Amino acid sequence: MADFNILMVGGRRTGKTSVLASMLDSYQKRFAGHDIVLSSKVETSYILEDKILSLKNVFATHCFDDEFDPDIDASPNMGKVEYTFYMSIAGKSGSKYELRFTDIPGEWFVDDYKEHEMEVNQLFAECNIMIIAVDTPHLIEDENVSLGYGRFHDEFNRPAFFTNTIMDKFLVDQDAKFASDKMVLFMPLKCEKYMREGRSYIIPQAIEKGYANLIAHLKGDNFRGHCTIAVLPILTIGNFVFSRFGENESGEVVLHPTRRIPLKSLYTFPDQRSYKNGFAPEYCEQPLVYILAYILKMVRKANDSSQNGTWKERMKKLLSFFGILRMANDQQMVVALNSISSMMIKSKEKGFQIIQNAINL
Amino acid sequence: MSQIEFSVLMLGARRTGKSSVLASMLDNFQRVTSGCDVTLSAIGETVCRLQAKKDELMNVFNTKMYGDTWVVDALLDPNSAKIKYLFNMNVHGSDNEYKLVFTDIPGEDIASAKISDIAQDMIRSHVIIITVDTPHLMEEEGRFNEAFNKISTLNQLFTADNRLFSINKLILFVPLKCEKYYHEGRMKEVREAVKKEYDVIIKHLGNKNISSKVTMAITPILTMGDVVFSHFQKNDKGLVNVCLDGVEKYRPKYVHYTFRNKNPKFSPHFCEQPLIYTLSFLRKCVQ
Repeated sequence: MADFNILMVGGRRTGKTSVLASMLDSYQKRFAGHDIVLSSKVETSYILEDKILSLKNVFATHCFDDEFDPDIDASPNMGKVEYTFYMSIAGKSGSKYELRFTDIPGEWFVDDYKEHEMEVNQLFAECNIMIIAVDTPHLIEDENVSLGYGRFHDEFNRPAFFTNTIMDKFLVDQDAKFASDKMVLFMPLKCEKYMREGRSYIIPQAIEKGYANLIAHLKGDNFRGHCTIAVLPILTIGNFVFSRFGENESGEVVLHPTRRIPLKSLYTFPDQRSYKNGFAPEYCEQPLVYILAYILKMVRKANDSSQNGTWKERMKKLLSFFGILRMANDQQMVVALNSISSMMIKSKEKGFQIIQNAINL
Repeated sequence: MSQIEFSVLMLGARRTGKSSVLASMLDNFQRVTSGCDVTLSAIGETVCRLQAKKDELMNVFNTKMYGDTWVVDALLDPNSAKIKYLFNMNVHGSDNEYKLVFTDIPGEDIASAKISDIAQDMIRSHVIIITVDTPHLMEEEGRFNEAFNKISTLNQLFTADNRLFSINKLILFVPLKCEKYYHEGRMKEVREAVKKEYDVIIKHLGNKNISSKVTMAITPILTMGDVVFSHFQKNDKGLVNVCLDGVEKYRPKYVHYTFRNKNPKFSPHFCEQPLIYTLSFLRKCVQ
């Protein structure tokens, strides 16, 4: 079992694996030379590189005045996919922790739930953090005013995946039967348009409305003190913005033949200079920075509880959070984590928002 | 008398020209260091392999005309298996025998499940030579550098395992095919582009916990002398033709080269420098 487990969920073709690749790439560039090193397991590094290249290729294969559907997730994962990242102190042997990212299709929660129930339960029991990838144009565009979010959001991002029953499995330690500390990160992707227009603030507003049932459940009495919720918007490619959904001659959005979602999402380069500047993602490192900040808080909490709890409780925590307990004795790692945590972006102007702060991030 | 073996790993993407540059390196080294205290001699099959590579490079001068442009990649078949090149190194006045083993990794292994073998080879190696295809680094504002030189994967190889620093190492960044930029007086740009694009590795190796165990240098090379990069072939929309699948996915499909003068000669420059750096480093290691 990995030291830390992160579940990535979201609608089909939201580009979860691509953004995971971008997250690691951005972290490595942003914190090059830092004591805390994150790297992918070498055996899967070329798969992640291929995802980055597919994002960069948008610029290589189109002219600056093209308007097109990038379809950057042309070969979506149909089943569960796992990626392992290692966290270590540069140059120090023995100080190595495993972060396992599991990308599961949202359909496993709903349509195929019975078939995958055992596996989903196991993943939820082991999971510390859930990242919900959101396609932002589908969340925001063509707003249904009475709902406060886009009319294609429910079908594309499928917030109905997250029923109370499912989330209880995530939030409650299945063996110990108590609410355990978890973090839910909403990760709105492809936010370039709204950032450029200076309207980033509408992103967390739309998230709160588009995922109202889920957020209300996480804010409930049982979980308020145990679940941290944040919105971390991402510029997946940079210099490449949503333009419109594909329309027919009458100006109506052309829908997918079997799903009630737009058949095409058209994007464009805002101007020649942006096109020339090319691939320039922003804030992609932030989900990893938040994850490291969460780990640091849990390590500190484990240190406190090991002094206060009974022997039986301490053993239970030792077994449940092996990575956290191991790290609690790794002072160099704790110090280095502290400096990374200070790089968390919380700016509301940029669309970042901590909705519930159970661990005082 | 004892025999000491040193390992040098040639790390670079498919069709960077790693084997060819090794042939040029040895050729230049023997010319530049004749009369010096250190001599290198290829052993066994290495002699034939390097001669074959040199012949392959020379052949360009026999088959092409001034004014032509051609796709170099089509002339050079990439290696599909790991090849070891063996050399005896003799140091005047020393009783010890030194053996140098250059391991040339097939470029496609970097983009496959075989990458874990490369990670193991890196741990064992005293010197790692990262070959950089300079036209892909410099042209089109470096847009194709990642696709060709596999920077992100190299980042993982250098950061994922701290055992890499269990022995002192020399890391050489060797930009190849620098002819165009050298003759245009742009070598400073090449150096800065290497520093920018390999920033993650360079800063990681410069971390305070690692820097005392690693020596790093950039040693650019003019692989053939009078052959210069011409252009990436473009389509009628003015976009570079890109491979959309296979092991060379997202790379320019046709990379054209040309002669820079009417009497072109096989005249590599600075190719001896990676070897001189390597031997200087190894001398420090045994002192």
